[in-house]
Amino acid sequence: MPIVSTDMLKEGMTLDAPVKNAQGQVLFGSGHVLKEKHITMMMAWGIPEASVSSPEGEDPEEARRYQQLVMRMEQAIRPRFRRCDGSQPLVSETIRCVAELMARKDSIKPS
Amino acid sequence: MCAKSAEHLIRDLPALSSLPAVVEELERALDSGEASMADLGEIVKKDTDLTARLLRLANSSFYGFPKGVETVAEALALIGIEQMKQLLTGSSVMEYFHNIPSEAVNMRSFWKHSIATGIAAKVLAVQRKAPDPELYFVAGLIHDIGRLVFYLRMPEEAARVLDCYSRNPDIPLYEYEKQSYGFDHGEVAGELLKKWDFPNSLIHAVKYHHRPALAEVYYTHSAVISVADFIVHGLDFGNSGETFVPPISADTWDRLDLPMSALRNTIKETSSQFEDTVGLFLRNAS
Repeated sequence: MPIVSTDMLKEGMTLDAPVKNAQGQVLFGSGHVLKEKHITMMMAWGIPEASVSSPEGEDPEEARRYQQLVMRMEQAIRPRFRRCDGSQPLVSETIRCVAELMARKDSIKPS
Repeated sequence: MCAKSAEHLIRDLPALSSLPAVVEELERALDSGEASMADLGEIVKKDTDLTARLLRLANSSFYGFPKGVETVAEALALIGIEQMKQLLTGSSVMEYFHNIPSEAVNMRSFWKHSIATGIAAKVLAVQRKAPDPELYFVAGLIHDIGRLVFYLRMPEEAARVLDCYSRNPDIPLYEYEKQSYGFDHGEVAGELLKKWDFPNSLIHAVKYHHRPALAEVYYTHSAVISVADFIVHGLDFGNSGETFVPPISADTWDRLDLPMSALRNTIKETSSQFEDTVGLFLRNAS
């Protein structure tokens, strides 16, 4: 039952534990199959992560290609951060997240 | 014009235009204590432009309400009147600077950066469970207006500073401002917002967004805008005038007391809400 950060959740994943808001109210129960709008709601409510059953469709070759793409994106955007201290977690994590975002956009672009 | 201080620079600037008459009417109805949400909706409907914007806003990804919002009363109940006033105030500030010469700055790009900073600030505020996320959106939206004051009041000096900066962008533009004028755009905006009677929290958020450590009060407000500005420079959405991502102190993020997953959420949410929100605040968005 991997814990997946909300921004990495995908439509079709199944919750294997309830998602609760800050007041402890259950928003989605265990077994709920996520749709895009549910993920958007979780983002809006600031819910950082969810426990899901094994993510579907993980092709190792595809995952490797994706990681290479992320690395290329990181190389491309790193000069933008030249005045920043790359050893700060905020800086390195921002570079990583922006690179992943660009990689995701790039990988869904029609070829 | 040679300005002795940020206060001197903004002294002769006219007042911000008042909010639409409908807002006053709404406040009177609320004060009476007898108005229902449907009554308030009827008042808003008198302003067709406001009605259209309110419904677009309620149905946009900016709020992400899962069901379609069809009536003004419903939109008002979901968004809140105080929040609507804050968003209208942000729009009034944008309107105030509509006549900046295009050779000084690409206004579309400037506002895109500002809108994105507003979104990022609001998303960070929601994750910190701040009671007033729209205030953070407005602070992000107007955080760089001090630069517009430079272009408006000291166009020649501002052009010279930009020219120096373009030849050596290794020093942040706000440092050039400090060296050249003795104050930076945050301080100018702080004085202007004080003149316009904006709340202290918003003034501090904007004034110290490059130097949150200097804020004696409302440190977290300025830190949120600082981090939001940093993120948006990283995403390269619009253009504030800075060529590179401005440096940020490690303490700024630490003081927000948020997990790294909140940073990821903020980047993803800012990106997904960006085009929709630009369409709400900039006409003929592209």
